[in-house]
Amino acid sequence: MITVENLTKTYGTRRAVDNLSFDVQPGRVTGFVGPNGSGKSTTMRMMVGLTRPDDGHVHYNGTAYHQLDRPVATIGAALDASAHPGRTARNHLRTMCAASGLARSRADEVLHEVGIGSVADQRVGGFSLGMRQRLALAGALLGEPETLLLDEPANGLDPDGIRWLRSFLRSYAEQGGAVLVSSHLISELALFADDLVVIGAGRLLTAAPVQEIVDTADHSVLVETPQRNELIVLLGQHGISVGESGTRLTIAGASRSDIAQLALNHQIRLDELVDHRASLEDLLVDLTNDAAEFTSA
Amino acid sequence: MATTLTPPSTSFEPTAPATSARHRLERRGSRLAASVRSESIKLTTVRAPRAILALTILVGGAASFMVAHFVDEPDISVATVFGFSAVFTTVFAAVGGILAYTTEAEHHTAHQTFAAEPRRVIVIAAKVITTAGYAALLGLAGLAAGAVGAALGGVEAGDTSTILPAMIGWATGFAVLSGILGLGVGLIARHSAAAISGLLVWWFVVENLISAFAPERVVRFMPFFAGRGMLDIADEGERIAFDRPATTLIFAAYAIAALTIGALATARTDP
Repeated sequence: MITVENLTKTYGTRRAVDNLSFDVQPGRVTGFVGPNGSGKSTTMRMMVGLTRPDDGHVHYNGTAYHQLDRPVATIGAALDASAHPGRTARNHLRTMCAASGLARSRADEVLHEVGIGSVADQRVGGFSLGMRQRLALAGALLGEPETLLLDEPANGLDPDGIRWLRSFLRSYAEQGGAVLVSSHLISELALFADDLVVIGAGRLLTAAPVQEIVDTADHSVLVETPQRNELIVLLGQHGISVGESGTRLTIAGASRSDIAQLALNHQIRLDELVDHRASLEDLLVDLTNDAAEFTSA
Repeated sequence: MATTLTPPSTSFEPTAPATSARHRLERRGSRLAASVRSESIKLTTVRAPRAILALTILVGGAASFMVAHFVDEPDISVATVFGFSAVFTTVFAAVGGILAYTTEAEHHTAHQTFAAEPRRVIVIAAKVITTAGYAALLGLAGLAAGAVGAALGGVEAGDTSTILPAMIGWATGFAVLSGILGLGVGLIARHSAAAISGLLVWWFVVENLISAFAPERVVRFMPFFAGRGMLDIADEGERIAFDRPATTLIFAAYAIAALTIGALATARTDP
């Protein structure tokens, strides 16, 4: 289990990460979400000792990263898709194998595992971003770690690659591994994450299972009817609030079946009657809106 | 505020930290050995180190050939000329040392290096060992090329029993210290072009300018002036450097100072 406690980092006058605390549990895929500049990458760099926190700490089953006996066996990190462009994929991984005391053969095993075994002897400079992402993931898998830490791993992957990544991470978690994966693609994360850690301006906004977050969304019923005014009056008589959304009515505080029954009893024709719940993306955009550093005009 | 999510079971065993002092020492030794292996693979799997070795042989051989062929002095021989190649070899050794870290910083592979081995002092120690080994190889290859170049230049072998072994030792030492100085400069600058151009400008422009105006007692403490003193190839009238052991200490002090500053900068800042 990863325990992040009170992590804080300031660059000059800007607080990149502000007293951030959360846990990542084994057997779960945890999505790490936040707008651009919210401190996701800085947090992940601090988690593997690349950036020194001003305050707070990160523990892996109670041990700090720099005190781990074999870091690669505990945590596999892919924070960027970088490699020396003049080195082959196999040699790139062999340098990592040697540094971690792993057998050279692991390089070939993980290259095949991530689907780029056929280009093992090609120089990385000729790789697409998607191939580099797979190589970075291969590097993270070298030590068969109990935890994966991936920063925007879907960047540059084609749809097939994204689907493969999704099922790979799910299967990894199902085998007991802990996965922390950052992304700004909330809808993508919602498809395979069990839990979400949402940050904005370096601060924790929420950390909870995905379903729990979805359940907090406002529920309403959208209705389209040619007898608009009659329905508004009828619902008003029953104490049900009604809003307008284009040609539809937005009704909160009543279920679809209650509205259908009322309309039927009073001979009001309904052309459309659908449940509406804000998407996870809408929820998280609302949540992070105040904390977003860069937003569209 | 820590938020705990639903805890499922795991099949992984947690990795226990090292406990006893002896075990920690053994682990550090094996970590250093592992980092040295990794750095050696890095050195041998890209083109730049091979290109630098080829240039060392080419330029070293050509320099000695030119001296042997065109300088008209009575006591000139392979034994007295082959060391001229070391002047160029040490430049290449310094460049090799610079690239040992700047390529990692520029291609962001330092992230992976320091994530695999979080104790940065071990990584830097491994880089010092591999850089020293590589610089020694450059030094010896340059001298061998210098000897061949001098022989091709048409001079006699000369006194190979005393001058030759001494020159091999001092010139290789100069190359090794240059490589370590280059590594230190690379750790500080983290940018190949800036580090290489800065070092070369200092070596060939700034020091020469200072040498032209500053008094001897100052000039003999300049890093590369002292370093060249290790080769002992200046003409009699130009001998203002200390003896070889003293110049070695002066140049080594600069190399160690650069390495220490670079190591501290690397340990304290984000890669």
